[in-house]
Amino acid sequence: MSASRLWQSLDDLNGGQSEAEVSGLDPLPDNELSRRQFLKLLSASAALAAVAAGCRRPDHKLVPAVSAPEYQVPGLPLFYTTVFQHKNAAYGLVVKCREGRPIKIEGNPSHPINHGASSIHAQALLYTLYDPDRIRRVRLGQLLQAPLSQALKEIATALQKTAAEGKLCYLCIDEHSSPTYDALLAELQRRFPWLRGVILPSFLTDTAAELNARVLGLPAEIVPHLGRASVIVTVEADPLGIDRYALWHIRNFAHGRRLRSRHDKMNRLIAVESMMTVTGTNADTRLRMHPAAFEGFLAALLVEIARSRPVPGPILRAAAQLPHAYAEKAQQLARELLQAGEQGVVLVGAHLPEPLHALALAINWALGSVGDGKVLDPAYTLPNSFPKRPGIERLREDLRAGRVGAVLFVNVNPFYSADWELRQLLRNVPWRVALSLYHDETAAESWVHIPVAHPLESWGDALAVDGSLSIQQPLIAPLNEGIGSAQDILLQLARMLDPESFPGVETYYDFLRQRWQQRYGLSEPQWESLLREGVYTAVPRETLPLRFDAPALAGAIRPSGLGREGLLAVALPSYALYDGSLANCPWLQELPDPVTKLTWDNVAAMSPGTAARLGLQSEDLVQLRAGETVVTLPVWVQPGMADGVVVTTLGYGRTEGGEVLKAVGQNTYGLLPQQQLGYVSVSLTPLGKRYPLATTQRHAQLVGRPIVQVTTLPEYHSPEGPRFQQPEFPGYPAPDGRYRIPLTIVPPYEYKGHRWGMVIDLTACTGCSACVIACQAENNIPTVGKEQVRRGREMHWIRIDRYYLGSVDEPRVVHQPMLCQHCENAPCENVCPVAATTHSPEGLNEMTYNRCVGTRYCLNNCPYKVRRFNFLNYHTDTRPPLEMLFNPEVTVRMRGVMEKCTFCVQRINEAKWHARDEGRERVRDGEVLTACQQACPAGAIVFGDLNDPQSQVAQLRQSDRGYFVLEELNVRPSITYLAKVWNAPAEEVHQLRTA
Amino acid sequence: MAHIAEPVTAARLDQEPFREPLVLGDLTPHDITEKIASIVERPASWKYWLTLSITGLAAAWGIFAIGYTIATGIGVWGLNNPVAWGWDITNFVWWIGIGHAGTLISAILHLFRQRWRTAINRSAEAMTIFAVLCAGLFPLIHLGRPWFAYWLIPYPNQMQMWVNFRSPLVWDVFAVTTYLTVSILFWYLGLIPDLATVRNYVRRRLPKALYTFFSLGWVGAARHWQHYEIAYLILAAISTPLVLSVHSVVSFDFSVSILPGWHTTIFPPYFVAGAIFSGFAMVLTLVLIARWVLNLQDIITLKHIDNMNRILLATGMMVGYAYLMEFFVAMYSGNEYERYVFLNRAFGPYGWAYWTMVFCNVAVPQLFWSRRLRRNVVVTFIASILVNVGMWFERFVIIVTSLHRDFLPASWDYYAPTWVEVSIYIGTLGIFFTLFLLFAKYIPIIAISEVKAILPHAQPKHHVGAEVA
Repeated sequence: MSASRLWQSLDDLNGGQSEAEVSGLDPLPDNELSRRQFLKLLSASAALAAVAAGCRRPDHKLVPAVSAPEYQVPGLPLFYTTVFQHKNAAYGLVVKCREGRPIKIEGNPSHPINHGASSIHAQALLYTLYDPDRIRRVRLGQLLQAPLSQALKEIATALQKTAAEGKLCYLCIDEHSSPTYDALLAELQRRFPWLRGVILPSFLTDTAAELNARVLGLPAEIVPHLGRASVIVTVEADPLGIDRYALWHIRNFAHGRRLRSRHDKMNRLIAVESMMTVTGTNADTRLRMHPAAFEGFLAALLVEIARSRPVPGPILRAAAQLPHAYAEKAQQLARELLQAGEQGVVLVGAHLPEPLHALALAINWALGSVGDGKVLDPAYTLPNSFPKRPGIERLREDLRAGRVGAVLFVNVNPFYSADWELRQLLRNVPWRVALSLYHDETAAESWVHIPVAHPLESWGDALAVDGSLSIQQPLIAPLNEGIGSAQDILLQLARMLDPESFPGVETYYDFLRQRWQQRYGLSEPQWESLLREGVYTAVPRETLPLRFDAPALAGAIRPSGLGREGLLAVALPSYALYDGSLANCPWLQELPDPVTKLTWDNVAAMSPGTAARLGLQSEDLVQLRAGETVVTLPVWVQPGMADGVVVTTLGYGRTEGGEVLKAVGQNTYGLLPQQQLGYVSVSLTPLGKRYPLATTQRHAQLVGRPIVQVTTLPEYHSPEGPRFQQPEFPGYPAPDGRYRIPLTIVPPYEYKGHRWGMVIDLTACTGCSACVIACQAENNIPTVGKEQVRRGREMHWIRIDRYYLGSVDEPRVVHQPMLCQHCENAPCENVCPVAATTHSPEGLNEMTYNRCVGTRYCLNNCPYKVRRFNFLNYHTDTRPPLEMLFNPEVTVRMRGVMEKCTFCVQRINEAKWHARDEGRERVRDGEVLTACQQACPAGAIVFGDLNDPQSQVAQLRQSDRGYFVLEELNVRPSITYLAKVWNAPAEEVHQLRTA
Repeated sequence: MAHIAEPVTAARLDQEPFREPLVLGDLTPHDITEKIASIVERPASWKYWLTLSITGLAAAWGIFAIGYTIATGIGVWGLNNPVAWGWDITNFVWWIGIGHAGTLISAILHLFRQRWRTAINRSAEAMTIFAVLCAGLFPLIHLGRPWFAYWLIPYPNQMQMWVNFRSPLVWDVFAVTTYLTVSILFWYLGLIPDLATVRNYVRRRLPKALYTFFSLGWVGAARHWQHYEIAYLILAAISTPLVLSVHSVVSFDFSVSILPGWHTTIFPPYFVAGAIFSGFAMVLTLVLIARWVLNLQDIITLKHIDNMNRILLATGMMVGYAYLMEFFVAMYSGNEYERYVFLNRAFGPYGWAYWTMVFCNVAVPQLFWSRRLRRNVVVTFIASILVNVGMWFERFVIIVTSLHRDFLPASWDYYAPTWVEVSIYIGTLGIFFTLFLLFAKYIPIIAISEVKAILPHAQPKHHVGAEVA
């Protein structure tokens, strides 16, 4: 038998003999299975099958998004849609999973609110999923690792006892936007009359809803649709900053100022404020004003508008009685608003008193911007934004009267945020049960703590402001040893109390399916396609017809009560931590505030004038005293603020619930007047001590350098075009004809295939910093802690540089995202002695981590200082399960190694593989999205192939607003910036240039 | 060939009656041998041991700080994002600069027949080697991953990775290692006749064996002397260009970059002048101590000190010229970044460092226009230390003030060292002085053979000089 003979099977090879025959083994006995053996096998397999079936948890089918492969292939990601709830705001997400673990959160491109964009909070959701400080075991009294069933049994017994005593049980929940959760609570309250649900938010923002209820008959907040507005006046409103729908507002706002050609129109944002909000930093015109002047200003505005528009007499009379302020400015503004008509809108901050809301409502009504299809559209009411105070007052009453026998805290933390009286009253309740992710202040004060599942581990749904519904899908089995979501726990508890309740419902998933089945009648394929798409828009919208109760509105127009004497203080939700529930996320703690660029602390921000008057400077410790409350805070001198105002932020000063949040900032909830956001008058005592603060940007002036180029819309529209401050250098025209290349003797490198590049539109960027966190999540960027930030060692690959132009009192602000510019002539590359940073043939400046020895010469030679050095081993304290958070496609860097933006090279390579698989030579435009670009709600970042003349990035690069930062250095960056355009009178920017 | 060696062996010039003799006290060759070689033989004083224990302690403390850095990371230093080099590279350049005087004295002054150099060349060369060792430490330990430092050397490897020859840091590796190698060879070659002298002098067995080994069988034969002189001359010729090249290459670390304040064509000559300046200052510091402790006033005379002070004056003014020129060019260039860096240097947050530098390097050497002050040991000693301080600040100012405020104001920051950086610097001072003290004890601190050659006794008309003296 020749070995070289062709053969097709072993039988063939062996000349028709079977394998067994060849190998010399005995062939298997033909049919020796006896009756006894047969029965043994039969019974054993039946028993096994029964055990296996009995032990399995019921399967819920997860359906991946359409663009992803149908089933899990190791090494390939799967994408699932879900929904993110930021309190009662909601928007769609797509979560990228690798080998069954979520590794990156993106916005859902099909969701009508965010269209694929995401926010810092949505990105941070991923961290909280893997947060090592999440509790995994039930605590029952002193018993630290109690079984869930035992805890539930004891809670049920306690509740039954309470009910038998005729006492109430309160169920305190946080603000949310889930209709099914509401249905569950309603059903529970129906079933158990002694159970009362109450929404107990960290702080109240009832003013607008209360006013709307009285005047419009709509007990809710209306979320403005900024895409429909052409002139937006904000009075300390912060739609682009701390607003829950900031992401949607940024998108709509940016949409109204997308300058693609010289003839494009642009919306106009006028911010009237005493503090420096993110919205204020983006204003075309900013009016610095003490809060006491707001009423006079708005009244003057209303009176001016009433000259051209009908305003009901009582309202006008009420407004005319108020002392007017800033009449000249009001006159100008009225002219602009009248010109905009129903596209003009005045928005008032949630922390301002009712008279100001009333004046704004009167103005908006007069302008015609309230109504169907208008800026303030009743179809866009914020879910669950009804006034919360009555419910809380009822809770307080019941507590005072001793009628409450038990309280269940579901993801709320009143022992951190509530006032002293409420905390004392709650402490007197015999049975306190906490259901939350962390063992927080409230859990510490509770008898039982049940660690509930994370939103990425549990089912749910959410209603967005536009009326679209989304399903919250779990992406991973609960990491807390399989304990379900709060809703699951409530259901289990209900079934223990009353086995008859919730027929046919085992879990919250069943309840959800049942409710959706009843309401929307979705078939199985429709349900699957809903999960795939992530959004259900075919919901009939229930809108109430608006009425307009002029006398009620006139009654609300009265002096606001904000005085000029002394100091006014206000505590607002912090940009990153919001109300403090996210305080254990180091990504957010280390995110520089878009305005102050501070990390890891809250401060008492005041104007330079106030600080000078009080003899204070940044980092001086002061005591703020409001009534009984004393808060000690470091001072931060904030340019652009009005004198006599102190602004601080909530969400800091947590004491329980994790390792990250400890000793970070001060609890400022005591400064809230009756738990409502608002101004209080305070007295300030300097303590004569200093407190170090960690800011990521210590210099904010441009010192005359052409780093950001600015112009105004009139100048941009003028025939001569904008007069940018161009750097002068000898050079010659580049092949594209648009730019000049500094004189050089080296012939330019010719990019044959792709040539990656980016365009960043400074007019669109609002500084929201979603890109920073998205980049951090995508690229395994460590957080370094306050001490290291103070030393200037933060690791963010993309940072937002914030510059003040003009005077310290009335600055204009520009946000400039700064990341590796991927220079053609990269100065970092030629100085590396070991060739660890090199240029790719596609124009990327690449970093080879495992070749880097850490001379740091590249960092010294980088004119943009965007390289980041691992001064210490920032990953050593990665506690399990945080290692699951890492993106497996990106190296985790050790200490002593330089790193920086890669233009998400892992995403580029993935797109190239797909292109190759499909037989394409080139990656299509838009196929690669960098993490920052994908997150950006403003669409300010565009990435793509500069060698493809049809690509968006190549076309935008030709824009007449385009420029390179530090062009004269001949480093030839791959990133083009588009100049900042303000829709403001041209003289204002002329002044800046000459100043 | 004999005539080439003439400048050293013959002493015609010193016969001139108006010339001050280089060695005082009418010492005979035997006296010289006694004076120098006995240091090796006789037990050291308690002062010596006290000093050695202090410097040794400092060295140990520095080594601990280095170990701590390597174990933990560069993060224990005060460096930050814009300022990625601080005390580490400042110290590197400072030590390298100090290491310059040795070669200059040994090689260039030798070629220029400056025979007064013989009294100080040995200690200057030793100082060079120790300073370069200290300097070389910094580029190694300042790496993020120092265990891969050998990647900076081009060697064939399985990774098929080569160094990046465009990087000035690679040039540094070559420049510094070459300089160290040549300096050691030069020093050792000059030592051989003296080691033989000591070998003959000592009586204890172990030292004798060691000196015998290291003197390579030198017996002072005419052939030995002939070969020695030629080899010495050749090495001097090889070393001379190194004096210029090493610090020029070190200055390329800065001038090749694009950073305003670093990207300056004046750097190579400016750095060389500064190096000679600081090198001579350090030689003066050491020699004045040695002269006082070891009673060498007759060999290291005021004339030597005077000569060295003249060099200080000359190089100090070169450095001052460079400071002025930098400002002028920055203003003249019209480059706003460049202008800003220089204004910031003088009037920014590091202004104190700048003015310390100007005072020490430009103002203090002006004292030496006066012959009286040039010959005043105390004034010279203080000035030499001030110059070393000033030259340290010069490097600090160049490195840190340029980095801390560069192009984008958003990335500006301030830098201050931590205790670890200070400890490492003190540690290198400890290492340096420990090595120098060991050298002073166990190796002839004065080039015995060369000094003998310039004794009045060595002159053919010895009595003429004697009469004048």
